[in-house]
Amino acid sequence: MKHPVVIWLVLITLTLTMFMLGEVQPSAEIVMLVLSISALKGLLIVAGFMELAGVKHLIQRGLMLYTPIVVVLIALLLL
Amino acid sequence: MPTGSCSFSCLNMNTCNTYATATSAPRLPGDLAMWIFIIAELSVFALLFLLFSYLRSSDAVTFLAGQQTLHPQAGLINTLALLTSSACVAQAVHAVRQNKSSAFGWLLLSIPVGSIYIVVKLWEYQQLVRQGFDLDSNHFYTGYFLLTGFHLLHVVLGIVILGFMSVRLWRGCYLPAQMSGLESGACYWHMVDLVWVILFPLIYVIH
Repeated sequence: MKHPVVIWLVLITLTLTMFMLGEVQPSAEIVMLVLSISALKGLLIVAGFMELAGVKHLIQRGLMLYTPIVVVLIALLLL
Repeated sequence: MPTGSCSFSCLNMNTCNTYATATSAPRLPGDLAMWIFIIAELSVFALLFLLFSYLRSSDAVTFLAGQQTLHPQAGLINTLALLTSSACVAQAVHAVRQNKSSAFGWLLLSIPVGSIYIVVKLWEYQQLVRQGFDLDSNHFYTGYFLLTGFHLLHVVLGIVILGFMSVRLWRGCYLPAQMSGLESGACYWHMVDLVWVILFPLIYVIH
């Protein structure tokens, strides 16, 4: 991991953006946007903080897919 | 930083050469056993997320009313605390790898920052109990207390692990060539963060 501080700044920015979206009138588009931001944050944590970016291993693939799959399933249940 | 109690040296040149070759390409950090544990934990949380979402879709009114009794700002503070604590741990791992003395400071800092989560979460529980809500109130509170309570247990365990790793780092047990334990503990802490990244919008943000 070369830039933990940069990853942290992006994560904080995405969190604040997501929080502000929560204050907006709820709609399917907002829910999708919030869940997409969650998936992106998850990918940043897995690739950046967990240092799995570029690692060739089954566990890396599983973890990189974790948040997108969970988020899609949640979206299917909620919308 | 004291050294000696956990000194490490390459057993022979082959060991050192193998390490040097292995570090040239990205490798799986930490121990494989920890990764299997992390995947098992994430699977359990995924099932709980889906159960919570299913219950929510079948009783939207109750869940919306339940959400109104929560404090989104507390959820935001907890998110910022966990992300910052995770970044401190990542910075500590980075510093150990570069043989920098700042590693201990970063790892130590992650403990009070991560503990903010525990304080805020207990305060939230206290507020809800004062309002008369508990596990049995309705499906929303059952899901809320179970999900966040289970996650809180992981945070507490994570703080204990961070404390243990700090002591070992202070004793000089982690070196650039011998830091698998530190990487494993760090990945566990990042997993706690990863779970909250999904939990936070599911409970506080999505209405």
